[in-house]
Amino acid sequence: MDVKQGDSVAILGPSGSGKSTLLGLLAALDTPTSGEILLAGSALSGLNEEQKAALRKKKVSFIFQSFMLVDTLTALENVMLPAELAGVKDAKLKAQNMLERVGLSHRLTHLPKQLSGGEQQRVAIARAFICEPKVLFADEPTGNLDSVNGDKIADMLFALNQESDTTLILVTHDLQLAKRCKRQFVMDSGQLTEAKNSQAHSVKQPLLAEEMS
Amino acid sequence: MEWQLAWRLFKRELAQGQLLLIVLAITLAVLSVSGLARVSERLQVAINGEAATFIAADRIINSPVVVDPKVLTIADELSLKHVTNMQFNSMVYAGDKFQLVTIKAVGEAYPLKGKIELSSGEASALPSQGEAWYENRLGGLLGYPESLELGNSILTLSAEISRLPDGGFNPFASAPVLLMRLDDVNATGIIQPGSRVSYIYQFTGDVDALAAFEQQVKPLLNNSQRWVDVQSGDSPIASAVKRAERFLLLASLLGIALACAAIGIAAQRYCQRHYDVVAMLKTFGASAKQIRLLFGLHLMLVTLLGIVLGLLGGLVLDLTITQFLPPEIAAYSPPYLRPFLLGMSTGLISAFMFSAYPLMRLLAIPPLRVLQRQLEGLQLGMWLHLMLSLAAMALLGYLYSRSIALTMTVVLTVLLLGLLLSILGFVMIRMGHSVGMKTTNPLQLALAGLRRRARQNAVQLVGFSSALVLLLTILALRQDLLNEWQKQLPEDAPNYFLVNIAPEDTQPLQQFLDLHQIAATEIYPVIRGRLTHINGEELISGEQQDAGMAGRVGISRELNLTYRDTLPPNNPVVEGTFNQADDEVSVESGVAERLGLALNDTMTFNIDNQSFTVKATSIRNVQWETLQPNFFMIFRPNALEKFNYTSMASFHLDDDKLKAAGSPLSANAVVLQLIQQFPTISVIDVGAMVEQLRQIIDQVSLSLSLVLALVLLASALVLIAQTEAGMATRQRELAVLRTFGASGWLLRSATGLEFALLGAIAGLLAVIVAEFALYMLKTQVFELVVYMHWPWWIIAPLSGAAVVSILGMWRCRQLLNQSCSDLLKAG
Repeated sequence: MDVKQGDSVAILGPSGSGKSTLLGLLAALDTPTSGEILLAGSALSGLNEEQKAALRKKKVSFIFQSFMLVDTLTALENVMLPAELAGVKDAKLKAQNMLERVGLSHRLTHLPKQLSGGEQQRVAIARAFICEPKVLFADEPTGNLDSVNGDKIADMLFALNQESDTTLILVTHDLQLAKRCKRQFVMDSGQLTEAKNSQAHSVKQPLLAEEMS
Repeated sequence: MEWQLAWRLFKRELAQGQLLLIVLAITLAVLSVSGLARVSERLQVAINGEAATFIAADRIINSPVVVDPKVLTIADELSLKHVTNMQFNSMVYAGDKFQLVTIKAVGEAYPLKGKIELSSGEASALPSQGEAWYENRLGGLLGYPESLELGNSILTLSAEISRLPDGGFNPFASAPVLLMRLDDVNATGIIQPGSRVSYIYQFTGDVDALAAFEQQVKPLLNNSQRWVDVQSGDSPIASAVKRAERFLLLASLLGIALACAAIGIAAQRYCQRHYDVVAMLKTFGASAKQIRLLFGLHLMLVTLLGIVLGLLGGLVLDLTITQFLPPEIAAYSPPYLRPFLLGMSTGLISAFMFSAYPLMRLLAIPPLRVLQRQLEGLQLGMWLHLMLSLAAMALLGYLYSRSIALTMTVVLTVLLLGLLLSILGFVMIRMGHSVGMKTTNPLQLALAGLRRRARQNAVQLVGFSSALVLLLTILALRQDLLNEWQKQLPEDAPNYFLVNIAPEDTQPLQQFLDLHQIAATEIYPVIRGRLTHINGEELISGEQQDAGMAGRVGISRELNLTYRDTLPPNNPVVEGTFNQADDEVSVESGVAERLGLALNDTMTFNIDNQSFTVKATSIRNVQWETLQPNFFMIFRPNALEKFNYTSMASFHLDDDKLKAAGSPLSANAVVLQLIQQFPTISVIDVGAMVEQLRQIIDQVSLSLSLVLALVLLASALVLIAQTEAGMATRQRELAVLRTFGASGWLLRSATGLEFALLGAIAGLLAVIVAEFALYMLKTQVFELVVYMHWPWWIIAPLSGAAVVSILGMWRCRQLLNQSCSDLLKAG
């Protein structure tokens, strides 16, 4: 699997097929037992935990299905967090700008529990883009949202992705969302294959069947 | 940057109440230590100060000769106040009447503690030169003369003494006291070389100086010189004070242990809550150093807040207590430094040592947790946590009590308790294994819940039960100590002693007492005799031993002996059997120890120049604080009846009692009648002393209640912390049960029942362990009577169930009222 700068890639597959494991490995959160991953030019196998953390700080960002906001911090403070960790000087100003871009300039001082699910994910998107990452990993970003909100979030995600020329790697069940990516991969029992658009359609049935069960 | 982040996280979490528990736990630990250290220091001074007025000083050296001048030099160097007095017996003459009196010749500074009470009020100075003050009985015996002769001097009697601060409590001191100036003694010419005189050196000063003085001076004293402090000897209050001090220290230590447990649990919860935050921060590239710094600073802020609040609380506690203390004690303000430092170090040590392990686990959370929520990273094993916690507890205990023995006892008890409770709890919960899981019956659902969480519940049981055990132990000890004192000093504790009752007066006296409906103790015959030999070996005096003579040291004065058929009340036999044959004697344990006497040793007594030998066949404990006639030696009637004797008795008399009995007379009038009717009987009024004793006991009770309140608070905190800790899993389970259609009623009853069952088991375990702990404490430390607390066996499980279910339901109320989707989302 080879992903170029600015690409958007969807990884599809049923539950338990290994999508999240792959995401963990690609994002330098986990260590592979064999094989090699090159992330933004760095071979991950040669890095220790600290070096991997430094790499993530500089080049990588995340969006999660469960948002993973710090529930005691305000929307603004949540967005500032990665910038502060990276030692960015005007973190607050940048965070304000990011929240404005995701349409939440009126919610700066709200706590996560005071926001709707869609709003929480918008905060998470703002947080993901504040450090202008080279690569953005998204784990079921619309998984916890209804379809209307899910679509809005997806629109926002792809728009920001395009604006900032970020590489997007997205794990999802949602075929519609996957189709908006330039490339689709299907994961099945640990095997990854790149799907042409027609192949991506073919995984629709089992996915739906699984969702209904 | 980390600093800003830590501060922001701290500020927000504090405002949202997330840090309440851990801050409260630290606050309580600091408050207990700093507040109690100061309060108990103050109370100790209060208790000892009150008690010291019994000896009119903090320390006394009692010597038959003038002491080495070095002793007084040391006292001066340590800035102790001191006064030298002399005491001896002599005859005084007034016209044609004469009387043996005890002369108390006192130095200018007398009394160092307390006041001389005269019949005209408190004395503000000493008698002038050439004057003397007399004890009220002496006036009656001599017919109230204006002056009397003592040796070559004539002393003017200028005032009547009602009570001397070191009047002590010796009903056998049959000679009335005459108080005069020390510098008048020479002129009397009575004291010649070889005269029997006691030199009484009294000292007062601050606690540290007194301790240093004791250390330096005690080695300089010889066998005939006695070192006396409030707690030494047969002082009626000594044992009360000793017990109270031990209790205060023990209860405070247990309170601290509990507060530490609350910190431990709260710290664990604190860390668990931050698992996700750490995982998220690591995902976004935070370095290990950044995370360490962030949470180190965060915890530091939490600790600092706890310490500041705790110190303030301690101050408030101290100020509150001061309101209840008599002004003279409240005026004594021990330095703030020690309680302050103790409080600070308690906060720091407990917060960091108890959270070290949870914090280590927190820092080791893998970033992958953001994708796989069940990951918790490092499992270092509980032993490390246990070791750290015990080490912290030991360190704190030692800092507070400065006693290795007491600290080790508490730590080992806590350790044993924890182990025992874990095992018992686990076994009891596993016993419910056969019960199936049906979602229709709340009881079965509750049992299933208990079983599912067996391991976690065992840990919770340790928390609940430990809190209850400590509470029950402190409650029972406090009650027992108070009861014990109340029993010894009931409202109608004797306030009058009658001594020198002639045999022919015994019958008429009894009639007099019956007439006025006065319930007196039995009338005890008193025979004075000297102990001359033990096991055939002649005894020598302390002075003789100091002069280089070899031999066994006896008692250099005459003893008061009595006889009776049966063991007197409050005289439990600790060894042997009470007198069976006429040649047997029962000995008080203190004097037996002093003489090195063993059971079946023989003793030879000399009474009226007749010698006879008896065998010690029982050793008795005597409670000197009972204010009953008490004796070192009790014989069989046949052994002593042939000798001359006088008798003694004691009784309680007050105006209310007389009024209730329909008597028109006041207590004073009755006593006056008694004196007039029986002029040879000495009536000793100990009412004032009884009142003083009661005051001391009241103060001690106050301190005991206070400690109890603190232990109660700590226990409640442990309970809340425990419930808090189990919240997350409970939420997930409720979500599942709700999804499967369990009704709100079913879930509420099942949750309530589960908590109630847990509380009941904890209560039962607590009673078992508390009874054991009480047995150990009562027999080993407090010398109290052991008995089972049967009502507890019902009350403790019931109240355990009530408290735990109320607390638990209160904590779960939101969860139980949440809709299914909310629960699932939150889970």
